[in-house]
Amino acid sequence: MLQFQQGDEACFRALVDRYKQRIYAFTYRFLNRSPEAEDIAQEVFVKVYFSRDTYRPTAKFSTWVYVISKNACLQALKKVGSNISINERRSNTDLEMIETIAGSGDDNPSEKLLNEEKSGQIAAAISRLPESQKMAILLKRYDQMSYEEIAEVMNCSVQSVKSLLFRGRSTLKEYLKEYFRED
Amino acid sequence: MDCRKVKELFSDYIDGNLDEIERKALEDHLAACAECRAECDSLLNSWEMLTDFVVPPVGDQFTRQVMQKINDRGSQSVVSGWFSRLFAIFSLRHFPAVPALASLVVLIGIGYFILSGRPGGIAERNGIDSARKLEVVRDIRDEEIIRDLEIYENAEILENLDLLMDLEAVESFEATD
Ligand SMILES: [Zn+2]
Repeated sequence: MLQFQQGDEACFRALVDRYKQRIYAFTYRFLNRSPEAEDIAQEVFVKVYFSRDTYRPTAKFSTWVYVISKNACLQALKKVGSNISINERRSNTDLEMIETIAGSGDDNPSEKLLNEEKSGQIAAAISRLPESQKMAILLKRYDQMSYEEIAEVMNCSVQSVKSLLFRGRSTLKEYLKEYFRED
Repeated sequence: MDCRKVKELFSDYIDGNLDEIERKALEDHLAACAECRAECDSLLNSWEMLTDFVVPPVGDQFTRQVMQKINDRGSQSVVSGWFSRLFAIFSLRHFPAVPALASLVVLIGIGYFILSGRPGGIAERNGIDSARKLEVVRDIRDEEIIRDLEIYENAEILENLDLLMDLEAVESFEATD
């Protein structure tokens, strides 16, 4: 029983189509590849729909969507209690992914599996970061946000963002050192 | 530049935020100091390595499932046509190059359309010229065209529209950590 007009529904769908992969990528990485990441990304858009009247046009629309995504991820973490319960479910995703890769008929499945292994190493390293450092790192690295945009999403100062990135990078460097030295 | 200062600037260096002079000073130091060079290389390598964290594509039912969830929870549509208006404004910048005056007329037309919420009424009152311009706006409601629209993220232009400025208080955005 959608009450909104036909045209409005089409516009909203187009908006979801436009942002879904980016928002899913964010929830997927932030929640350490949890199988719930897609459901949580969907909840982000449901929230966008129902809170559209609270969108302040002075903010970038994408920033607003990321604020909602951030809150959804933090809520999800609280709900499951800790990172650990999410990690435990991760193996399912890995299996599904391997099945997808195997069934994809790709001409180089072993390379894909190798990539999957790399993803796993990076995911493990990122998951060890404190939440705020992880958030800043993800927004900078994968969403190419400026310090100012990250500060807006995280509701903190630009100086804090710089500090979070600095610490996050230094920690990741230590965690990932062994992998890139092998190359 | 000493080692401590250099290390402080690594993040800005990686993000390309240093000015020419700072960057040159930092690179000069790196050329001369093996320890800082090694640390900078490690930071760059690990940052680069993050590229390999791949994300699978979202399921092809994603959007349908979102719509289903909205449907299940009931639409509390207070301001109908909200997303249409957002789209109309996003797509303004996509109009083919037209003389500034014509753009202004279109802008006013859209503003009037948005405020009135009744596209038909305006065309009747303002005659054929306006009607033609309104067609552009009406087309936005056509789903096929909407799919091709590039959504502009920066909605600063919205600031000019009183209707959308008078919105309820923004939800609490405080970081929960
Ligand atoms: Zn040095």
